[in-house]
Amino acid sequence: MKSAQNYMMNTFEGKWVFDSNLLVYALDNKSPYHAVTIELFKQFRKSTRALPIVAQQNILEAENVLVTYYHLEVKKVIYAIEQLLNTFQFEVITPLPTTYLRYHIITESLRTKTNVYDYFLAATMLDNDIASLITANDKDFVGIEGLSVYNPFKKE
Amino acid sequence: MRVRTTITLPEQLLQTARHRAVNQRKPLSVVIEEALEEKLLQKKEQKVKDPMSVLGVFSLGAGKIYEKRSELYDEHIRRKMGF
Repeated sequence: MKSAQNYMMNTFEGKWVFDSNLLVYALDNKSPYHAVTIELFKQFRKSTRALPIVAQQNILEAENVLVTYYHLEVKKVIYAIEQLLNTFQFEVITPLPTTYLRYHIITESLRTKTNVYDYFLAATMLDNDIASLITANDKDFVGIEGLSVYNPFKKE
Repeated sequence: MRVRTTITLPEQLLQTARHRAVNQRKPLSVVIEEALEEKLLQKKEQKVKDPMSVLGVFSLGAGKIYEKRSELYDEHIRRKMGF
């Protein structure tokens, strides 16, 4: 069996958005995706040229999963998420007043409404001049112009 | 380089510091300096703890969290819109 490191890109550069699922896997030591996610965090920690980013909605989604699906205490979840974001010096981005327009462009170009929230995340990223996303759900972002997506859990 | 400064302290705290200075036969400024050093160094030590220790704090066994991100919102929308 390959180690977690084998699945990783060699180097990360620039700004990368960490999708909500990665925040959950990072905090959950029993997740089958935990080891790979930890490796990712280590790489960003070591690198001077890679910056971890999250969008506001990623924080809410991760907290919602931990509280609603896994019934953890809100207070504990908030503390864990804030510790993670502060320790790894995540930059937090936010939708801009123009983001809904970018979202409309993406939605119209793909002619489907099924991935509304993925498209809105992509629009938030692109409006903040960030083009790189790390996610376990890479298929949901296929075809979005200007966005590059990396799934660390996909075996090369 | 040492610099002179002025600080405002609660009277009781200053009194305690004065007593300690007398007991330890040290100038008051040294007692305050040592207390500050101890407090500030303690904070520094806390900062250098292993950053990885903030990860893996829950034991849940989370697999694939959702097939579609909309699953995280749909129920909320249904409730709000009364569907």
